Amino acid sequence: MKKTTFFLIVLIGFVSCSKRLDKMPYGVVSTDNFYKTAADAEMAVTAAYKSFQLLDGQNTWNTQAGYTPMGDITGPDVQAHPDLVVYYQIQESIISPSSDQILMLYQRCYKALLLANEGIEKIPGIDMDENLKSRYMGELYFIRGFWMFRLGYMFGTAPVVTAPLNISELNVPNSVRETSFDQSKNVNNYTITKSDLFDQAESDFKMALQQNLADRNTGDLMGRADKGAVKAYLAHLYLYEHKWSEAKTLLEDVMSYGYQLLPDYNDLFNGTHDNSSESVFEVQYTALNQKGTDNFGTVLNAPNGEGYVAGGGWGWTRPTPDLEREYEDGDPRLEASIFRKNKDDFFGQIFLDKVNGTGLGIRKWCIANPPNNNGVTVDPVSWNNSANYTLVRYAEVLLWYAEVMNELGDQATAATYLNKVRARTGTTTDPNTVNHNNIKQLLPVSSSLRYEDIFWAIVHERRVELAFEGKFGWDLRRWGIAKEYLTDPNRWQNEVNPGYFKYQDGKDEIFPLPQIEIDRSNGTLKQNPKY
Amino acid sequence: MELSPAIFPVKCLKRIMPMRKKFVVLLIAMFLLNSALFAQQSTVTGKVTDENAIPLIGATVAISGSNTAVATDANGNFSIDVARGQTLEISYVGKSDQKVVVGKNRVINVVLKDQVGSNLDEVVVIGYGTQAKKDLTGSVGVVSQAKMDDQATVGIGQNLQGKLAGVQVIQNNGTPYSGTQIKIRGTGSFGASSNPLVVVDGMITNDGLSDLNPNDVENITVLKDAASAAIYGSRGANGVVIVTTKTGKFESPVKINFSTYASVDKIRYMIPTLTAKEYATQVNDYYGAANLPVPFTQAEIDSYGKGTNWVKEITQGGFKQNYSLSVTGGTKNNAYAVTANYYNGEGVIKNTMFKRGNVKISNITKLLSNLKLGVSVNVNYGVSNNTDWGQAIDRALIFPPTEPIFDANGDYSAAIHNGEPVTMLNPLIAVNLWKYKQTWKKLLGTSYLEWEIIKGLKFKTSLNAEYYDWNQDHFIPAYTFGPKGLIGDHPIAELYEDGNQNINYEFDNILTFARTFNSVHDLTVMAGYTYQETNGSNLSASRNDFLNNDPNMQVLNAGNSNIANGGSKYAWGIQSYLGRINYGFEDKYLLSASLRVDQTSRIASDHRTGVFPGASAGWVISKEKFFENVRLINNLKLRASWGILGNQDIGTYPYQTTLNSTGLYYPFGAGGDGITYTGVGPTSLGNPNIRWEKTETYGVGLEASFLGNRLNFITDFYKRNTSDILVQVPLLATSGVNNAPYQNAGSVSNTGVEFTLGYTDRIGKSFKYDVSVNWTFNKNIVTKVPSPIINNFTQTQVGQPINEWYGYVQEGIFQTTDEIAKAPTQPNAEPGDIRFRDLDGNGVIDANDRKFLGKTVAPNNFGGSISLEYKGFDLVTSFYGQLGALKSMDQVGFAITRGGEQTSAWMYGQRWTGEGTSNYVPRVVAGDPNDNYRRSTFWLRSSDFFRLQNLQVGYDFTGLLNDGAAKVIHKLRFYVAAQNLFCLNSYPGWDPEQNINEGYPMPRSLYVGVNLGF
Repeated sequence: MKKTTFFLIVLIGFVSCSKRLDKMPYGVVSTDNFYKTAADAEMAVTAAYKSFQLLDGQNTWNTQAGYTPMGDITGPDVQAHPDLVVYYQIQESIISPSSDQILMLYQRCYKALLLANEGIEKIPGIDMDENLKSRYMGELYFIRGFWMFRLGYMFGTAPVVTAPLNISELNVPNSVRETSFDQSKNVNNYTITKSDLFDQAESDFKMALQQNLADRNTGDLMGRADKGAVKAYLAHLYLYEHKWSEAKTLLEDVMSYGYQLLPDYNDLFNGTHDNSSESVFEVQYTALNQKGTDNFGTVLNAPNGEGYVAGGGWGWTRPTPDLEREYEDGDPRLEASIFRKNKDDFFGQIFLDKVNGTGLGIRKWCIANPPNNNGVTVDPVSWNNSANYTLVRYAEVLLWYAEVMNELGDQATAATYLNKVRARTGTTTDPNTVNHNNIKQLLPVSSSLRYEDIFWAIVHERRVELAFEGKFGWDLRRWGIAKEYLTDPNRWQNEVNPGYFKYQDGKDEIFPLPQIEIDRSNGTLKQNPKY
Repeated sequence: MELSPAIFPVKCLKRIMPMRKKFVVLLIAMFLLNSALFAQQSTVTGKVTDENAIPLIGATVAISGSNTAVATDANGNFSIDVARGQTLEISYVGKSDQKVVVGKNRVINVVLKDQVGSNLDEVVVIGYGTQAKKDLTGSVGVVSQAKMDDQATVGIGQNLQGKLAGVQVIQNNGTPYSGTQIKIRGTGSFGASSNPLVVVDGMITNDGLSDLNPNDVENITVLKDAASAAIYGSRGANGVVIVTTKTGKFESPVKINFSTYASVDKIRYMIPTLTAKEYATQVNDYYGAANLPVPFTQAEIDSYGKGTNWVKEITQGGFKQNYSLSVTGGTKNNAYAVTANYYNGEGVIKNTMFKRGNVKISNITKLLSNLKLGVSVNVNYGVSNNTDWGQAIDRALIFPPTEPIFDANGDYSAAIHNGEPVTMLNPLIAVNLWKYKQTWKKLLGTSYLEWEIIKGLKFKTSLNAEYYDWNQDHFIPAYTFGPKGLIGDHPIAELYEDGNQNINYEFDNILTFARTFNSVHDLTVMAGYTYQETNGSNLSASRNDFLNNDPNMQVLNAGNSNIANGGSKYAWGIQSYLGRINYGFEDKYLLSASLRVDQTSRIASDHRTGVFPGASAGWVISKEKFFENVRLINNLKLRASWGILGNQDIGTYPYQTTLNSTGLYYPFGAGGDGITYTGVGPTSLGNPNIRWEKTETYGVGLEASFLGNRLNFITDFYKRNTSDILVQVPLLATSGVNNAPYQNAGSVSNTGVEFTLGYTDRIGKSFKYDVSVNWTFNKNIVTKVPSPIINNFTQTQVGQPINEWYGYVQEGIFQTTDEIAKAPTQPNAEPGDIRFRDLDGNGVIDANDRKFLGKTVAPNNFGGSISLEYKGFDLVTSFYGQLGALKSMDQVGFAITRGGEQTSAWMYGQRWTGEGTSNYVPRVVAGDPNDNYRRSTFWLRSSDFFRLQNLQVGYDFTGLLNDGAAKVIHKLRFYVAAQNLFCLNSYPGWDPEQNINEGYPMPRSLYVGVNLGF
């Protein structure tokens, strides 16, 4: 029995060792042990920037790409590859709330907001250099404002989330959104009169401006938000709300920061001029660093089946003849933006439109394999490259300013700024190497045009200057002319397939909220009108 | 204490060596010696009667260890030639066997007693102990060696298929190394794992049943009810599968068994795909219906014939072979078993194969008369050399049949014709060029010391360890296909290597006291402590850019760029105190109670401790006095049980909110590529309040045997209430994270009945048969959930089964515009589109017109087997099936989802092409304006099936051997067998147990095999 006692003692010895059950996970930190130092703050801010690399993306994949097809597919400029059923549905305004694409776009906004909110909540408590802390906070407020603004124009009534939420707080109701149509005007007559999301974005942008941000970043700070970027976005938001004079002040500030148009339009889109003098805010990418910061955009964008880029090019969107017709005769931006079948070439290889497309391919952001890549890093295995992707460039600031001045009744100034953008065509080269076509310097817009003519001149200019940059579909909605413009029987899509665009006012300005979110909210979240 | 594997095999080998010589000698003897050399024979006669002196007709009288046997005549008399010293074995159905050693007496009369229930003295392995079958009070299923031996199976899971009521075994896929998934009594959880706990030779394994050699198995016990499984506490909620492997027996002669089989495999059901002509027509329909230009001219369509059948191109006939050897035996103080197995299988998809080798050595030594040392080492090595079959199958089902295999340049073709989805990989590249090589190494070592302190009081301490190592090499070679530079070029080869290790050790200390008092009170008391810990790690590395694609270049050092690596680690531990009391009075009233206290590292320290009690009782009615005159029923037992079990299988660190930097890098800085900064942010939410998931189960069971134990019947009724279910309720997007944390949210109840009915008898002298069927009905209902768990096509809601199909209801196809005008508003519908039912009757088809559409998990499962024996012949067949669930085929799609990119002939044949052509499959149209793709009854098909899993016919030739040979050879059986011979079902995929385009096609296998015993 002595031995038995011995064994029992051994047993009890084991019993007392319950410390061994405290197993901590490897390779991660818990929230309690982080947000202590300036280095932690920097890492929190960096994480929030990451969200920009995943904007529209591609279909429902989670791959990052400098490519924002949503703004194109919501307009008449492109036709989707036939594989992308969901793009057709968005374009025709028949998208279902249960679409995975809609859910992905929605979720990405909130993922970004979590990263920004986490930093905004935790960084103030860190003991560190106050100037640096203020700069970090400014950047985070900008990032949060950016995503609030995006939720606002994309989803309208989505919930406002301004802090990391715990499990019991997730069921947030819709935000308020009210709009009005100004019956006295024919164009630009649609205003957002009340939007919780825009209000939050406005407040965030204003908070950012109170922080220690440079007017315009240089050197190692390039790629981070500066006052130029914040003011450009705040001005953009004010355009939705028709706050013209507020926008005017902001845009004038931006114009005073020394941005310049690049002389050659082609240089903007071949990856060789990252963070150029024209760049107001751009998404940063690098390649081949094994850290997942590469740009997959060119594969998605480049024409399908031509083998112009690593991965061949998938041509998920291709230009429409409707857009081609929009270009003035000899506008060099046509050749810089579009390949035409049997006419244009890419480093000597004629565009053949091998995959039953529209006869046109997107040239913008087509980045060649070596040796024609002009020094841009291209990974032939993953098909990624290092080219940055510009979200706001100075040309757009000038066009916004023209729009604001036109609205404020100063058509002459509006024409002046419009013409600054048109003047570049004189220095833009012909990118084709085999078949050179005639390109011309465009004539300036007359400064004696009336309000509506200037308005339509701006519409035209934005459409061709910013083609495939994810702008025009949202512009049409902002201006309140989307229905008139899209359902015009002379739109190419409507010619080929009568009644193709089924856009309805009061519904299709914004996307539906994801059905699964409404289902999961147990009645709290309501669908956008008419969906 | 520690394992002594180094010493042990040497000892064992020494013991085997001389035996081998003996074996050779015996073989020679078999061929050279004449039967006359063996002992003198003389005739013995006798009579076999029952206890009432009634003659037993047809009783078997056999000479032990030989093949000679006779049957008794109409008066119960027999006559047999037998030598002195040999043993006669007399047997009769329903009676206990008797052995009589032949002495001087020339007349031997035998009285056979009634057997007390069939196999009731059989000892059953239960958790941390054994129990006689007759004393069981819980619901325990046993598959004995007899039911598994000589069966050609690849994995242990297959041996369980259809064998036990309440145990559902699903084959994962048809790969030559496929594992199985086991579900006991329905799905108890919708968050944590529903897999049962697997215990091998006392070791709670991490790796389950995979990689074990089926020929090693002595028996399998399945603990189904809570009272039986309660001794496993927090991990027993999904039931427990206990595997006991073969060991030798003390003082028994050397037994050598060798068996081998070979099989040819063929895909049972080939998914039909489109011909080139049909495909081109479909693609034109797709574009034409949307008023887009059509890619194929009529002349092109007319010129097409069948085209390429890509599914045929990537498949082949499979071939499997297996060799098993076992040697068992024992001396006075040693009992040993050595088994070895080699398996090699080539799959039905080209370039897929698997081979596995197992060696297991076990030894039990009596160190002292009251001290036993048991050691076993089981080594497994598996290699699969694979292609990317997943991608190959996926692509083969959609690649245009209009393309040839090779283009004019001799390269693999690309889909480059107008309207074809050119980004797609040629399926033959996936099947011929991509390489996946996986290797498994597993070492399962168990050791124990059992000390009988005083009579009836035993202390057993065990140290068991499981080491598991899994490596994968993935090589994507450099290749081009189609016109150079077009799309699929993969100019630079890539190699990925991934190594995983898992070490699991367990330290058990069990004290057992068993004694019978006053010969009526049977008492067994057990108490113990166990600790178990697992540590795991992963190491991965990759490189690009290899000089060529040769196999011997496929090492990391040969890669020249993109050098990358990664690694991770994890650990968890659990410690437990356990105890059990079994009490029986006169074998009539049986009681059992157990308690386990578990503490796990997976739960925060405040909630870490869980208490899991269980109790059961049995009443053997047939032992009561008032039952003595009931002749019809031989055995009748009523059981009842109750218990609470837990489930902690929810990942390793579910309670902690963590931050990490994975995928959160971002570059800043002027010009070029800038500097990449590291970001850190929350990517998951933790839940510190996680508690144990608890399952409370009530059960009653009835066991009865009739007609002299020929007819056996078991039924069980149970109710399992699982509460505080650990579930990842998908979060609203406002959380900002993808992965939901586990929450103790909701309750589920499973109510079920199980029946097992068996009949064993013989006709005439030598025709023996055994029929057994089982049926399980399980009703699964969610009784509480904080908010519905909503997925794309399924929902989990109160009052419904877990994860039920949810969506729209198809009401045919719109045939005319007139019909659309009159129907409830469906905005963009045109003739040929699906008409959905307006469930809420508001005149508009919207999200409110969705409802629950059917079950994803079948409520009815059945199985059964039949075995026949006639002289040397044997026949075994087994079947299983399920009823009552639906399966989606939305993954296979139709030409709804992408261009022409679907080649399902089944859909094509039924598609709408004009008024009156179809009321089921919609028109083919680009852009899917009506959203025909939406989740609806259109995609759901019945998954009911009846599968003839196994049919085997064998003949044992030992009866034909001369006596001398028969002395040496105890078994010489040849057999042919078929597996998965047919499967009655209406699901249009490879198999009703697989998703339609996922997974490896399930083959039909035809076997030939030999079993040899010495």
